[in-house]
Amino acid sequence: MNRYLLIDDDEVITMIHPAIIRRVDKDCHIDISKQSYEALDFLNKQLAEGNNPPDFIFLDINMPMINGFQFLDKLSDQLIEFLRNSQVVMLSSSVDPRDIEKAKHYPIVKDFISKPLSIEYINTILNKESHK
Amino acid sequence: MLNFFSSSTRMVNTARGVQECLEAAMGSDYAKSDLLIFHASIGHDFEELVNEAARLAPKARIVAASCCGVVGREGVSESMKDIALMAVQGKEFSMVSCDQIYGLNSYEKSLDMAKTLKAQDANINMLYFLASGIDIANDQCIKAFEEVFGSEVTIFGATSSDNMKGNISYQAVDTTVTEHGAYLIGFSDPTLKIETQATHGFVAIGEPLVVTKSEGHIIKEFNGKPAWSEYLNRLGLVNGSTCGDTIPIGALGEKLNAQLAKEYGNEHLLRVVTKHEGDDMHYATTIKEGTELWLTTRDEELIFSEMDRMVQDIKDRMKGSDTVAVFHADCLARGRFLFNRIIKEELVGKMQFPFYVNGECPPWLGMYGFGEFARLGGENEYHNYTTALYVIYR
Amino acid sequence: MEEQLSYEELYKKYQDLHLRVTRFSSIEQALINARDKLDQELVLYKKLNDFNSQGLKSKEINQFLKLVVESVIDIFEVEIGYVTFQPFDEGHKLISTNNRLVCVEGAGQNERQVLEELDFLIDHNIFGGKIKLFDSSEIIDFLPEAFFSSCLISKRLNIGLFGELVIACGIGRKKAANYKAFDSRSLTLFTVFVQQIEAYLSNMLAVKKNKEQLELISKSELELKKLSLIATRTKSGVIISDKYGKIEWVNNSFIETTGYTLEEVKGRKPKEFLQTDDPLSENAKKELSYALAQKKAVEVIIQNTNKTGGLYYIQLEITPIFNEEQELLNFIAIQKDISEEFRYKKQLENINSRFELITQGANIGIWENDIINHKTAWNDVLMELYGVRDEIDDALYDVWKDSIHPDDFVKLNNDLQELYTGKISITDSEYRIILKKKDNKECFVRSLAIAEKDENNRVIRILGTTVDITEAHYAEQRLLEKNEELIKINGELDQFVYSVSHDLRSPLLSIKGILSLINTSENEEERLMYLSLIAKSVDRLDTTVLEILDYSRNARLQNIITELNFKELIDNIFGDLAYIADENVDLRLVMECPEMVHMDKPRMDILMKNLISNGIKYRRQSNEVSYVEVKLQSDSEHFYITISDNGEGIKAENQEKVFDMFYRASTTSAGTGLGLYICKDIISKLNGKMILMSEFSKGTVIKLTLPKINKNESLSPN
Repeated sequence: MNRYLLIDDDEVITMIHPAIIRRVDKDCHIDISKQSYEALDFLNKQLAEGNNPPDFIFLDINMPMINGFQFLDKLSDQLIEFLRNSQVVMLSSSVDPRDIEKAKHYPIVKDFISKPLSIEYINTILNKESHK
Repeated sequence: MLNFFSSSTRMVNTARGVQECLEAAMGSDYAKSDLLIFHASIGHDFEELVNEAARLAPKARIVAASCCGVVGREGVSESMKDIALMAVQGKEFSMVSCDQIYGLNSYEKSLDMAKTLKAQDANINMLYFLASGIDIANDQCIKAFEEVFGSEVTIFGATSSDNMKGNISYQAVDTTVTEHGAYLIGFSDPTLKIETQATHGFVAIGEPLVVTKSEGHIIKEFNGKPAWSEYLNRLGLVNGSTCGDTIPIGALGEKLNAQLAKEYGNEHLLRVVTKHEGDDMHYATTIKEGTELWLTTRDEELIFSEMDRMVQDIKDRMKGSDTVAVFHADCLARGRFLFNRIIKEELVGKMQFPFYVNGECPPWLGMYGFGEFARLGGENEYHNYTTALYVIYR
Repeated sequence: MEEQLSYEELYKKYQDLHLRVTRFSSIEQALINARDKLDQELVLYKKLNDFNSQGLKSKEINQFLKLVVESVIDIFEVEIGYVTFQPFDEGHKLISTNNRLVCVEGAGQNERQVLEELDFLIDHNIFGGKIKLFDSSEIIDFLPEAFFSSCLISKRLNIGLFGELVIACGIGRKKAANYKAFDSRSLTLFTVFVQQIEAYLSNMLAVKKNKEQLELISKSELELKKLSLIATRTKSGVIISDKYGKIEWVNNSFIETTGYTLEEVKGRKPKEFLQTDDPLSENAKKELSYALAQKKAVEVIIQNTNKTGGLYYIQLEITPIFNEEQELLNFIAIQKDISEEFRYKKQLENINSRFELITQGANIGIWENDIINHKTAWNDVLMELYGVRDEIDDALYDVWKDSIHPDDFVKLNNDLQELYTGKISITDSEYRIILKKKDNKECFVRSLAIAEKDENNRVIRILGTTVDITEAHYAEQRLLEKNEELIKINGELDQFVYSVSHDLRSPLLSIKGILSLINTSENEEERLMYLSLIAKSVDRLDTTVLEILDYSRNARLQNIITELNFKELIDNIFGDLAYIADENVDLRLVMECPEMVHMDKPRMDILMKNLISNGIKYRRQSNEVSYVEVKLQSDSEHFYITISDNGEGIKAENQEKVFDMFYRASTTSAGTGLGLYICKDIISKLNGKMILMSEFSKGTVIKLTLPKINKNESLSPN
């Protein structure tokens, strides 16, 4: 069963993204964090409890207080280690080349896409996964 | 070998006079002289004279005597400021001197000097003697000298005088000046010989004064009367007259024997009285009681002719040898007090000329003093009122 | 028959005769003495002659006086001669430097005693001023222990302007007997002799004086010859004029330069035909006239004209010549053609003044430090800069040094040291100065300094420029600031564009997503839900667009002051926002001043709407009753609007950021974050102030202060 973590503050997005994921991955576990620190708390908790890390993390860039990049900066080495096999995908509503460039500096980020998530994209990543 | 140089001058400034004499005599070499014999008139300061001579010729022995005038190659000069020099170069001489020589101690003083001198040099062949002319018994001096040196050694010289006042006279040896001193110089150059002779032209007049009382060289009475008073009376001088008044006219003559008289050219030997104390007259030699003394008068013709004769005699005896130097003593009474200047200069000229060597007058040192020493009858003798020449020759 | 004489008679006659004979000598002697005396007269005559001829030959006083004493001794046949000469004038050149020239001869050992005795007799003028013969008794009267037995002394003889003379001769006691005593003949002879000496001495001194004067004259003549040679040969023109200024003589150079001959100018005054109307020479002419009238030396530069009318400049020196009585005799004028030099000098002056102008215009301060002579020179510009007016050179350096800003001192000093030691030739320094003379005003200056070296490569002078760059500096600062501001604004703009694009796109993308869900949905209910989500997104998009509009309006529009009813405005806003508020929110309005106000209506509208809606939006859910209160107060100058709520509040660290563009402190709301930014912008455009006070979880108070404005005035934006 795949585990997904959605980090996004947009109300609508947090409603439609899970729906889109479920359209493809019917049987999955999805966690949602409306704010960065919520997500951090969640991950730390997973780590502490010895649970598996999420397989996919969809990270919104544009969030209040701590944005997506800042969230990545706040990842401790432990968490990075914890998430080494996780696919971290950054989402943005703007396709700013600067953002893309910046994302490349974070090795943990595997991909950078524009909102919204599409069914096709989910397929793609899952296929990749299954090919591993 | 002794060499002689002479000069004379008349100069007011004593020091300059000394310098001029030295330069005139020896040119610029005067510092090389060994013996300097000065005669200077009474107007000079004898201290200054000998000190200046010593300064200019530090190596030389110096003697000086005061006189009434000088005679040199340059001629005759009778003033208060005459100065003449005989400079001797050579080592063959020695010297001795004494002070406080008077008539009373003439013998003793002379004997001491002679002995000292003989000890210095045994080869002395002539003696130059100059003593204070006021109050001295010259015969005693001669006696003493002959005792030590024998009578073969000729004594020549003179006695120092002032300007005929009989007031004071000076002698000097090196830088010491005395008023009653004497010095004796013995020359010992074997090549040198000396001829001496004296002459005067006085003739005796009148009756003699007989010495009826005497002591040593002091005459106390003439003809039973007080000596000095009688002397003045005879001379026609007033009481209170001094020796200065008597000397020119009061020459006293002692009779000579025929032989001596012939040699002398005169029957009498003259004596001067230079000092009297009250009626006591100080005679120039010791005098025995009973001696007859004649008063005399000057004969000018005789003076001249006798002078010529003397000069000739001396020259004969020299047998043609050249004169090396002439010492000359003249009685001051024969100077300006006797002759006028012209005659005197004539006399001196006539005296010097026969001794010229190569047309030049030889070194000549003459003085007008009180007395002279010259041989007579082969003996050393003391004379007064004479011209005495001492001709040194080789 | 002859009487026979008795024996006694004969004897007596004989004795008489005898006596006559013996006494003859004394008579003869008397004759001889007389002859001697005659001789001596001749000798004396000869001695006097000798003295005369030698006396005439004598040139030196000393030499003559020596001759005198010796002659006295010789002629008078004495022991000692003595002469004293006392000059009146101690510094008289004709006479020996001894104050009292004394010649003594013949004293020997006793010299001092003799001198003292004679001095005594002379000084005490005992003999009543006559020429006197002293004999022993007289001398003993004065001087009991006397050396002398007799002496002759002259009176004090006055030798013209020169001094006093005394001649004396004498005989000492010891040798008195050897000398002839003085008699009246001696006295007469002595008197004549003394007169002779007096005459000789006067003559000699007069001759000497004459000789010296002649020497002086011939020296002057020589000087004169030399000078005339110089005057003739020199290239400068020489004029000798009399005391009235009329020409007596001119040299060749004058003739050549001016073209006039001596005949043409003799008797005329130079200025008549030499001076011109040259305005530059006016001062010189005045100086000349004045100096000549005062009989003083003068030197001027003046224009002259020659015979043919040619003009040229000369350096003219005039010296007055006076005689010993300080009477004016002549004027000597020397003139040197300096036309060339004058031209060059003028050129130089022109260049200099142009240079001055340039530097003044360009406000360049110029300075120069002469290191060797410790002199400093500043130009006017520099002095003006430092506020220095009358400082002397030395002080200038201190002024400069004291004004250097302490922080800049070290670097500047190092630079200058390198310059001084010759390490570098030029320095370019910028530093601050504090102008003590201008209230400690701080200025920025830039100095360029150059070292001037001598032939030994030693630095002898530093010179350079100083320019006040304060304005430029501040301008630069402002530029930098503006740049930064611009960058900031640019950044903000970028941010704006970024955020706007995001905020515009987000809802659209959401709709996109929802659409794909709808497409793949099989559920009607689900589809309906998706549709409402789309509606929500659409609303969001609309809001954003409206906000952007507000912002744009605020930015662009000029302020429009109208009369508005504040209460009505607020009430309307309350009504509009009712839909997001619900019954739990109490909207209150407190009016503490009249409703009718003059404000910028559109802006106020936006402002209040934003602030109030924030208060509503960020209400605390946990409150029983949330409120948002608006209070209006005013005084003569200002409006005071207070919006307070008991909402979430804002954390302290976020309070400043809330006004930033697009900043959202809270996730609860769906705002764009533009709201407060726009408010801040509006406030600034209204020249007002906004203060935010908030406590997290308690509430927020925003205080606005707005200046009152008149009806028709329009505010210009700050």
